[in-house]
Amino acid sequence: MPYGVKLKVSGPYACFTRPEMKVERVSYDVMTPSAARGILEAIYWKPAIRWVVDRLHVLEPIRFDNIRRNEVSGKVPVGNVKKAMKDGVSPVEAFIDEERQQRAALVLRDVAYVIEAHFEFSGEEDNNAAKHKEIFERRAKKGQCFNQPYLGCREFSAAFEPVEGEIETTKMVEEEKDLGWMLHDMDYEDNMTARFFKATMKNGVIEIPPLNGKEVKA
Amino acid sequence: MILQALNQYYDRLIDEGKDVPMLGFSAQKIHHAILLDKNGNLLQVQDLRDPDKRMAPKAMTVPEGENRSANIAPNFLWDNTSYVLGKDNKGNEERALKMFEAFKDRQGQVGSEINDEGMAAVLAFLDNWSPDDIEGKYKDLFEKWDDVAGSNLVFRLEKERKYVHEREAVKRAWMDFKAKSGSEEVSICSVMGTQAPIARLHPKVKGVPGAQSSGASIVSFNLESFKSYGKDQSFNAPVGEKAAFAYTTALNYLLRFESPQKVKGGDGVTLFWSGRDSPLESFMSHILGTQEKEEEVVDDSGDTKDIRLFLEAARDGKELSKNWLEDEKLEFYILGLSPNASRISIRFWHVCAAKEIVKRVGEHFSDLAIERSFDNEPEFPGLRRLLRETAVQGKWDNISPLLSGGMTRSLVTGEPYPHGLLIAVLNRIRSDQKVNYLRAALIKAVLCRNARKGQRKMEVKMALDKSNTDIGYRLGRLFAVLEKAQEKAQPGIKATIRSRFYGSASTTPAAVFSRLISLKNHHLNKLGTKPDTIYFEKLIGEIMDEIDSKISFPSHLNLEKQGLFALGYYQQRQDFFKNIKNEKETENE
Repeated sequence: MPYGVKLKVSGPYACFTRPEMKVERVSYDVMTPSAARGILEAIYWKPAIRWVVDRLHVLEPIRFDNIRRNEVSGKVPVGNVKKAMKDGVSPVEAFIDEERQQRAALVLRDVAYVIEAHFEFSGEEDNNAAKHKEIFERRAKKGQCFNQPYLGCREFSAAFEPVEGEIETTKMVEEEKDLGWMLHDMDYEDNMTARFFKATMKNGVIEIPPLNGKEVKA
Repeated sequence: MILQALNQYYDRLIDEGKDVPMLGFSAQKIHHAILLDKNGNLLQVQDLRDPDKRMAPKAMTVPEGENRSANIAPNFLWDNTSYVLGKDNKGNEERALKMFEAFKDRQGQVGSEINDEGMAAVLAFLDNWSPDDIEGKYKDLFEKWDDVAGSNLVFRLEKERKYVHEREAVKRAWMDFKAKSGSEEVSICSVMGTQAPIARLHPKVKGVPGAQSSGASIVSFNLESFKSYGKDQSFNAPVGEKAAFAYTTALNYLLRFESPQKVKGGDGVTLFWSGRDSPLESFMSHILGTQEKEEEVVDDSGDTKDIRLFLEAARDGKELSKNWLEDEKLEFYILGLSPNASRISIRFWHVCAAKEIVKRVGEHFSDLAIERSFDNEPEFPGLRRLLRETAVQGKWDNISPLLSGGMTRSLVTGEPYPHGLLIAVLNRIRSDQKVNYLRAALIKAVLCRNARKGQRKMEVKMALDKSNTDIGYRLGRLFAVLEKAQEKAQPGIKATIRSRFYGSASTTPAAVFSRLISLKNHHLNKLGTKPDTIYFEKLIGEIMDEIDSKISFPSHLNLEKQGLFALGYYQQRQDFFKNIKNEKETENE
């Protein structure tokens, strides 16, 4: 891909939550394409472009850890907000000390990935590919971002840097691993359906099929 | 991955013909059976419980129960007395009556079309039944009402062995009914990868200690903050009904009463299974588990002998005999669950080749290997037994759940033991001044494994090592010798220097040892007899030889050296006992 980019991300914790175990979070073994897209968009995005992830390199061995956190159990109901907007007086409040829930999570430790991706144009305007690529590379080098990129959950910040030249070889031992059905991404146009693909990792590399391809099932 | 592996396990159980319910059925605990004649008259209330096992209810495969919390949702052909008879011991008579009516309707809904004697009898019985009959018409059959109230009941036709819900026509009617009332939402199941009706609520998993007794769920979205994108309950996580049934049934099977494939530990339970039937599955429960009866492993009979051979071979790195490891690629799965009210959280998940597990187990026991102090102490202590040594007051409940999860993970993956383990053991030793076999074994295991991972050399042998020059080890040995001198000089003394000085000696030796040395001189004076005095002085001289006279006693010892202190102390004391035993033997000869 002439306009492909390579980005290395790493962090002490990561949690790419499995959709079926979202309450007591359990992480996938590796980064999901959706999370990778999120990191790229945090660094640079405009309505004119759309990031597409091509490949993921897993650099560090997969290690899990348990943590337990106290979180909030309820949401502020939409009705309350609307009412407050109308009459300007009703309270919009949530008493979090009355709504505590403890949630356990199975997260990844000490992760490092290299994301290989390219962007495509979403419309007719601003189709200057070189410009967008340059901006991205500059921002990645400087460490600029719109919001701090994160590894699955916002509390697990990611450190990122551009990759020059060859991508380093993985420190993983196994040559091939079947990761089962992994979440590819959410289809925002189609009632938020989650789309899945069968992920296999060869020598630490996972090939990501295109979202609209036939390997990706809803 | 996890749900997929459980799914595959369920398929394997079905293939192997194990007693696992099919789709639409579940295993439940039943207490009594209602015996009817062909016209629906009540003949007897039979007690199905096992008198040999403290009246434990009978586990039976019955039509799948409704997932209910506070709503009225009757089951088919089985339920508790509130539904079946309209009376219970909870006091709310009106509600019980409503439950009975609902039950009657449900039986009619499913079974009124079928042409079966058993079904007809049940329907007739329900039509003619009223809750008052317990005290009225059928008073003598319900003499033991207090025993029966609230328990689970099934139906049976007279002169038949089968229960009504096991009759062929009835089973078929139930499965048809279930298929028709399946979920309408169809989407890709994230476990199977095919289009399937998605389950709204997953069946409950029972048997996780500490969770709700009515069962808990792994996939559960019972509070607002857990929902996403406006989706309701389990539609947040698409899993097909068949897959949901398969994985929860597999879990319930693994968690069943007295299952050899589960081990209670810390704050949860650890389950394990392999890709195909293998003896490794039952071995793991000993390795990870309780062994509350210490004699278990020493006894060489039957099963335990196999396990012992296996563990010895694994530890010493010998070739395992063929029948244990026919298939090199046999996969082994370990899943740790812990409860959180009505939800279950996954504490631990590991998949590896069976061969690798064997290697890890071997490494674990070889790291732990140290000379025992008593012959009845286990050579291969279970994980839980080891962890009890880190618990306050030695109580099982006080084992830190983080430590037990971490240790299970280290055992299975070969990672260094959790950092908190060394701290916990040393803390316990400092508080009760006891360095016993298991604590010494734990310390040795942590130090050896950490050294191996850090690629340093850490030679801690199984028994006393006179050539070890580490300052912590030497000081531990010195402490043991000084204590022995005191014990010899003042026989019968209960509070030795150990109870007063162990803590400070192991952490800040400089402050304490000079005092201890002068005390020793007093003790040796008291001893009087020359050979003893010479023996002790010689031993002390040997040990202190290596403590450089310039550095002398260090002002404090770091954690690792405190561990070595404990080991030196333990091994030196063991050496004394060995000598005494040898002396006694030579005396007797």
